[in-house]
Amino acid sequence: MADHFVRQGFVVHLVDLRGFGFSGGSHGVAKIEELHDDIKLLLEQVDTDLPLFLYGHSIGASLLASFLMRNKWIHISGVILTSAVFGFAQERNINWMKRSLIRALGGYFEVFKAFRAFSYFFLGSSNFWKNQQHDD
Amino acid sequence: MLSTKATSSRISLKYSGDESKKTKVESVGIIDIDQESEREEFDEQSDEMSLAELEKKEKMKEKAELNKQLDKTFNDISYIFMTDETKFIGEFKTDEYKVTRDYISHTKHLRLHYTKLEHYTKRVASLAIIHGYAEHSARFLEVKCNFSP
Repeated sequence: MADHFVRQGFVVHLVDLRGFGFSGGSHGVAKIEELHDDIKLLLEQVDTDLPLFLYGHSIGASLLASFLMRNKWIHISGVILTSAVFGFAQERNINWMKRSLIRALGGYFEVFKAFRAFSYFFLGSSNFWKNQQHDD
Repeated sequence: MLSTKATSSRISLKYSGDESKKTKVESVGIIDIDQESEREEFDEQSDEMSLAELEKKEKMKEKAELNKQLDKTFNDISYIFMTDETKFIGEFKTDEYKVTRDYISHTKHLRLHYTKLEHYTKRVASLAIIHGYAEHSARFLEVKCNFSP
């Protein structure tokens, strides 16, 4: 994918978020705000002269969505989100007990929200962001 | 063809004692013969179709060769990154673009592995890729997903 984009003339920037790949940090314990800091750090490496496009996949897409909603000052030309986890996957038939647990506890445990909850609870404990994404 | 004949004859000999079963076996043998004739017809049709299939195969081969040529440099880089530990960090040049691998950090205690791919001449836009759960950035180097037709 990166090879394809760079051949088209894109300057491609890739990063391992904390706890993933060759980066430091423990896996699966990062908070949303910490992962947002990693995205910020990545965007600091980008040339401001060129138009900026963001691509997020899976939990990265959800992170990008929440990051952009909290940082509206960032000037971007476009966003690509693939397989974003914005809600419960209907085809997986998640048990109602798990759903209720996630909904009940997702607002209190950040790690739980980030990696096990598949709802807009992971945007944070504030209702403002939840409502905003719901409206979007 | 020979195998089907052999099997039908072998089965008929096996059940020669019982007449009711023998008739059934004979019918099975007849069916086998019909299948053989159908197969011969199918072979004739397949000979006619083979020219079109060959053309398709040749086109597929040509496409595969082109893809190999296009991805040769990329494959080499991916292979080098996976096997050669000395090329973990640094600048690597290919025919078309430059790859930079380095660590970036905003605190002293945490470093993030960062990769940048930049074309020598073309500079259209910047693209920042955020990987998903149970993934890492190098996966987006390996996965070949061409959006162009």
